[in-house]
Amino acid sequence: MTNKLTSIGVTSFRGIQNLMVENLGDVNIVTGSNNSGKTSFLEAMMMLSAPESLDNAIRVAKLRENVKYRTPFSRNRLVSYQLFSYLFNKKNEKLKIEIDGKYGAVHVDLKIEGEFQKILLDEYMIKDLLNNSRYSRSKFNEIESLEEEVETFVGEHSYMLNDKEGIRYETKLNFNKYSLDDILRSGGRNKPIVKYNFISSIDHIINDSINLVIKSREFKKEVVEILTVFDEDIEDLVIIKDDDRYIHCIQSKSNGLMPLSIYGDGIKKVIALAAGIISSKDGILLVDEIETSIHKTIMPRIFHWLIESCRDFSVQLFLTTHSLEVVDEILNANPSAVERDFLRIVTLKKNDTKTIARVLTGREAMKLRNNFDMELRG
Amino acid sequence: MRNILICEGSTDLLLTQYFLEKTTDWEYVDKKMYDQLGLVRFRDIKLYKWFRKKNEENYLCICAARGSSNIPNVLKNIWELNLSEMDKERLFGKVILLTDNDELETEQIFLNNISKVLEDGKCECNEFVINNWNEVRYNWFVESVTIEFLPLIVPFETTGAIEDFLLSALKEKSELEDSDKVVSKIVDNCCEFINNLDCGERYLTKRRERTKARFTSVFVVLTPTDAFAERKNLLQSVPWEDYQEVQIAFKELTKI
Repeated sequence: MTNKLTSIGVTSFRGIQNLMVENLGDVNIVTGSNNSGKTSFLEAMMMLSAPESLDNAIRVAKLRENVKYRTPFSRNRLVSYQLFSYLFNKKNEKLKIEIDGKYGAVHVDLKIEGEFQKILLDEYMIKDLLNNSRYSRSKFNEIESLEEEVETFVGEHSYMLNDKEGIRYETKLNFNKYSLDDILRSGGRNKPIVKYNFISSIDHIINDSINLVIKSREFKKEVVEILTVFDEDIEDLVIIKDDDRYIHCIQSKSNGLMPLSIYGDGIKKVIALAAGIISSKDGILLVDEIETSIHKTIMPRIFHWLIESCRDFSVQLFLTTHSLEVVDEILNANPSAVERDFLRIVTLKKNDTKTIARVLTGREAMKLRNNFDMELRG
Repeated sequence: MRNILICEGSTDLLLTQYFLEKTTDWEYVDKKMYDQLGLVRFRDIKLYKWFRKKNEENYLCICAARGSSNIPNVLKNIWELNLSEMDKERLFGKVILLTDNDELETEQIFLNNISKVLEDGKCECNEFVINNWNEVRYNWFVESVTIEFLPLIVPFETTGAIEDFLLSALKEKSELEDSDKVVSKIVDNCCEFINNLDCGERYLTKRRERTKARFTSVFVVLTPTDAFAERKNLLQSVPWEDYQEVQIAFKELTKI
């Protein structure tokens, strides 16, 4: 795995301050108490994977709100500008996002610094806004009649890749809640240093990801095989056309074609993980709260399959969990992961001025569990 | 705050437990409370007990290493805990290593073995002073932490096992306080009897066994009805806290 993230430092991002995590592995279990920064840690990795892209930063900022798009709360979701503001650590005097890391020999760092200022838009600025963007009628009217000062972010976005002779690339930032989306639309998307996929704890419920698995014929066989852990009658995953709709189905020995939707969440979780592995090939897969929808009794087989599949697809895996059972089952389910030393247990703990990380190898973690029954979640 | 006292075997454990319970405010913690209080369960140490100082969040674990030569190995395991524990309050802040002068090759070898464990465990330590608290520094995640070490070798000035040390304490008190000095005579006679007993190759073949036999035989005479009682009861039938030699030897333990 050439693009493997081997270390990451988060000086300031969301609730994390002065965190340094080194000696990362191919499979990393990230744990810690509530609000210790586990999800933010995953987000920091996503931010770093495309350091030149403001669009990527906003996409990361939106991840936690995405669930609202499919719920009755969609009208309450925050706008990009608000979400951007929550990327900063509010404890710092100066607004700053600062993340750096190493992908093999490549050192990457990302900084976004600045401040929120109240700026009164004059008539030319308002005209500019209205001429350069498409707004809904109500938003157009709101902007046209603006009389109050508008909160504006004024700062700088910079990044550095040391394999490009250590040049720091800098861009001035100046946007408000009306102009940010337009800036993002015109910016285009940059190719990340390493591709990543993030699977939230409810993605398997709200997203359909079966298409990718069905297209990957060889891997689909393995996925079907692991699905028999849930129901030994499962023999295939198919999409059938019904009038103008495409329905995701499971071919069952005993029941014939059955819609995926009527099956339990565990099966959907495995399909979401499989799709994540395929689309993260040679990249990074980030899974938040891996334990959701997976019963303890089947954890050993699921985790064994997950880790081996990630190895096959050359995917670096980061899993967050609150569950000590998950930690134990992963340690026990994959002796080879411990033996070959590619497993790490990363525990995060936050105090007033910093977040500290403990990185244990699989061997060290097993020893602490076996000898002292140690609580590895911090 | 957590503290740990690593001793050789059950006699030392019982004696230190007795001494600490009698002279300071340490209370035995029931095993059922270990998880609730976040106290470590040592799976590879057979004999250990946790104690809590009355009305304080101060805990002490006394564990038996099964021999002086195994104390560095137990310390090595304990040190891994200190390197990995993320909660500063749960670090072992005071470490006491209690051994006797019986099987010890030399004090220096014992101390060198301890120093090596700590140096391998990323510690900075100066030369240890025996029977004194010594400061050891190490990098605990993002800060430097100081741990206090007390290598306690009992008896202080003579060689011998802790059992012989206790018999000596009994003898000394008897000579000072009893007009007939009968306890002192019992100690002498029992020791002489055991030392001269020829058991061939069947009994008392090891020096350590003779040490225990000397100790137990004195108690068989002093408390014959309790002769079959548990070793713990025999040992705790004497108010050791009143004995000057014991007080001197364990003086530093009152500082935990």
